[in-house]
Amino acid sequence: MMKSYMRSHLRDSLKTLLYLVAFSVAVTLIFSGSNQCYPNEDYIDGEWIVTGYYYSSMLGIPVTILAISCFALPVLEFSFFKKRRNLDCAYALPISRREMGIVHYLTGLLLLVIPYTCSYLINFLLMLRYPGAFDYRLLFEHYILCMLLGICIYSVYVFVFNEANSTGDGVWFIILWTFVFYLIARALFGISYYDNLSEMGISFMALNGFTASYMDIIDGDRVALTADIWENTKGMIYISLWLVLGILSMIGHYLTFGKRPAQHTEEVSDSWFGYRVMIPIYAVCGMVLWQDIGAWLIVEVIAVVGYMIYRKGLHLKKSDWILLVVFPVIAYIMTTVTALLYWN
Amino acid sequence: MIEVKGLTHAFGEKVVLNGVDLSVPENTIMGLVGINGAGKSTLLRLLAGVYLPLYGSISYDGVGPEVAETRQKIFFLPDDPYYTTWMTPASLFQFYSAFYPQIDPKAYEELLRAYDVDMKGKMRNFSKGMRRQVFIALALAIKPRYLLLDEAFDGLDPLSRKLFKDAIISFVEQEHTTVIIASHSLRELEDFCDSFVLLDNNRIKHQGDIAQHVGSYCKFELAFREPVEEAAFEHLPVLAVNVRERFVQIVLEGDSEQMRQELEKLSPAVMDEMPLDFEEMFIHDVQKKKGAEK
Repeated sequence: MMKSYMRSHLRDSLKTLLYLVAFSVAVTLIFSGSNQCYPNEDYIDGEWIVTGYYYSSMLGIPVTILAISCFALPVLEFSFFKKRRNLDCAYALPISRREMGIVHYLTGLLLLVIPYTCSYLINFLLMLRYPGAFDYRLLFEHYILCMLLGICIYSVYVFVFNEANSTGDGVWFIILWTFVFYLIARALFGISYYDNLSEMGISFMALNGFTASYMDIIDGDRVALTADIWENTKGMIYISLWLVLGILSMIGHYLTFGKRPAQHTEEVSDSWFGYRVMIPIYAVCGMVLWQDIGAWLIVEVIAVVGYMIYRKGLHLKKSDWILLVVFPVIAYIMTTVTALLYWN
Repeated sequence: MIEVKGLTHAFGEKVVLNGVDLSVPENTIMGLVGINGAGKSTLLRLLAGVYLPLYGSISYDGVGPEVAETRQKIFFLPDDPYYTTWMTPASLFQFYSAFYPQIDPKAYEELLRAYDVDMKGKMRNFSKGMRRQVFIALALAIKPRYLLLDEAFDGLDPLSRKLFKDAIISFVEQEHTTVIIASHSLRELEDFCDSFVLLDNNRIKHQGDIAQHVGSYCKFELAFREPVEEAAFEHLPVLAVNVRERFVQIVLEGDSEQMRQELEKLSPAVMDEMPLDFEEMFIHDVQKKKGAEK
């Protein structure tokens, strides 16, 4: 039955795939096509004279497409399961929910990889217009590593999105997860280890960090040494973090997708992977980062709004009010401890 | 055979079904009735495997609907079925044929033709009744062993209702299907259901044969020489009574002959027994309950 559903779902997704491929190719042709080569002009004797040319591989274009897809595809593939009306149809079909989850995950993966590959291929063909301008030795490695990273990020977002009971909450969960590591790293190690760990963002930042370093070599600015890339971009941190998170998310998705009660759909999203944990993390980290009483008040107001979104209304629970009181206390303790560690 | 034992379901703290026991024999049409919020749709969703029961069990020939293979034998048509904006009756058929290989394209086309629905029209442009007709045709073309229908008559015009009822009856005869229909159109249910279940207050209040159930009540219209009070009938098993000075309309629980004798003791000038239908009985039943609650 899974094969039948896969065939049916792929047939339904074909149009989406064609749109995504067309969009990716068009964006690559427009941006890479016009920016891979630009003149270096110097002001000599009262006029601008072209003295040479700069070349850019524009690898950021396919990677940006990949990053946006990592964010959008979980929403596209799984928002169907966030409406009760749809579940009447989906869960009554003679296919297990787990199999259904796998089919949608795999379809999303295809929608992720194919447009990215097309964009990368077009970008590569555009690069060939300038013989000798680029070092191609690390291009395939970059393509594969970014794709691997993209798949991991996509997997995390799929898991996180499905922890929510509505599409809106799912989008919020993805946004919150996008910056949470960055925020924690800055709040905890912001003073002593800022340079090393502040890049631990998700999606755009991680992929961009990688791509920028690869571009340094591919564009011929530096000597092509793989070791340099790993050292320079903290590649090991990125890949290890995302590989672990990606695999855990895949397992989590496989185990939990079929077990979520249908009647919880469209209700308050009470998952530990969502607002319940994210609001406290964001509030405390925000206060640690902006150590100013006015900023703390703004953070508290934002946290109240966050709880209103969480509870889907203006009425907050008693536990929410207690936490709002506790946040500044924890932030104060953390600030003190971090400062003591730094000065010692 | 569908067996439901001790079925309990709740949404948060709100209990919707509480210890429901039910047995639906093969090859029958069962009507599921109850006021809004009685739990009819929830029961159907539980029977379809959309919701998983909090407590209790549901089995189809010994296997629960949570097993995908069991759902192969079931088709659930909810009150607001899913379709995408680009879907046509033809693409809807294609979608479902991936899951139900036994689906009969000829039967589907014939039914749609009978309903005068365009196979290639966009379903978003159809009226509610037309969409309902498409899904009914789909349900019958799939030929499931168990057919669960929620608000089956909703949006259907009188001719479509007749077509639908005829199709269901011949379908049950030919395919030996068991059908459960939840509806507020009790007159329609009375026409073709073998049995019924009345859900009330999270539980099954009555179940059994509709004709037998209606037959256990009787309705009289009486005229007295002098104005009478409602209290005059208090000693009788009254389901509903309407007193307008000398004229009385009364629904009683029990054998009509016995009740006639009881009423004659009150010396009415005129007494006529009136026909009582399922819907009227249901209304009186609900009104009595609401009156008691007040």
